[in-house]
Amino acid sequence: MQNHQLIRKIKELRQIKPTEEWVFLTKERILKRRAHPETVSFSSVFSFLFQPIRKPIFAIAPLVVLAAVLGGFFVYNIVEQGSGNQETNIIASLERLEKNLSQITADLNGLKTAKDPNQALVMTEIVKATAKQGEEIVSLIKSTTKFKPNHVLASLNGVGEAYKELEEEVNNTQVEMIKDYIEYLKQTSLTDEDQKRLEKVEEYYNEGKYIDAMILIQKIEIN
Amino acid sequence: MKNPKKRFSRLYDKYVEKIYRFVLLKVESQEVAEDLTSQVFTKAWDKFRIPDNPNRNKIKNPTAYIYQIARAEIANHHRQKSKFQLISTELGQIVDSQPNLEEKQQIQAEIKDLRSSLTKLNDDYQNVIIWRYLDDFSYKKIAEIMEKPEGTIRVMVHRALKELKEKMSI
Repeated sequence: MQNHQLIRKIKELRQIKPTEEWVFLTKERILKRRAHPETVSFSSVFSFLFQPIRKPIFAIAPLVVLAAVLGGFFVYNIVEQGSGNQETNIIASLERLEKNLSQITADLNGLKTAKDPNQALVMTEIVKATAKQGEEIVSLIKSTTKFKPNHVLASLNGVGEAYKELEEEVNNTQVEMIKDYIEYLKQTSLTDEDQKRLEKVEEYYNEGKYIDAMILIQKIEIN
Repeated sequence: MKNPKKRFSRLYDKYVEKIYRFVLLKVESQEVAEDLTSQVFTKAWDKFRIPDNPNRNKIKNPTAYIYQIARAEIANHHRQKSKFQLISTELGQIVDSQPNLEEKQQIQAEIKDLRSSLTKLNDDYQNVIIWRYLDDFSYKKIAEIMEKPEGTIRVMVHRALKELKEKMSI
């Protein structure tokens, strides 16, 4: 094989790319990061939970993150300690998770009527990720603890289901918010470029590509 | 002083795909690549945004800087994991323009073979190939990143290609 043929093959590796969603969300998360977040070296399941949000416009994130952090801390203790303390710690974790769940649900309701729809959309992704983390914590508790009385297992399953339902509710809320925002933007004056973006956003929305719609809608500037 | 958020944003937009690809070609999974790439830019952002950071405006060569962080993160990751480099067979998302499924599968198979051969080269050879042919960097730019003379880089690229051909047995 000649060099130029090999080089052509090498250039095929350019097709390896991250997803647009990951690129967008990672940037948002990094830019919202506080100076020196207090982190604890838990497993990567909990790593997302330690991202405090600087502008609590909706008075959501600090409480949610704090609750999730504490939930994670309890799980850590469960894993590390012997079975004698496990039931107590599982119950304590469940209480935290349930409290967290109530807080996230309340915050999600707040987002639906937020003044800045653009920011609210971004926040729904964070709420969704927090809900997913809640599910993962429940799974982790179930998989790492040996002793689980029936009533505790039933509670764990219940909380796990509740987080799944919450995640679905966030998805539905996002779809609704995107639709409302599109209608709102249609009433505002936009540049030609943004007008085209809006048409594309609507196209994505109609095709069910909500993440693509959400990413593109962030680029539209309201005059 | 320029807005650090805008400066970082430009850096991020320009390099995120390149850094992600650079990292993914050297680690064991897409998840690890995402984590490490995120850490690279988090560290870069930490440097940009701290108001009293005396080094804030001393990043003369952003390209060299961001790859320096990436290389350090990858090295750190391998040190912490195992001495055996387990390179994943998964490649994450491959965005290609081939509508034909058979062609797409063929390309994916070729990419996997090539990637496997690439990882058998030493680190420097891998890097010069990635920078020269995937990122389209000039020899001068690569020389700045590696802090070596341009002539040395040209020789390295030539030797890296030769060795890659041998690894691919073609």
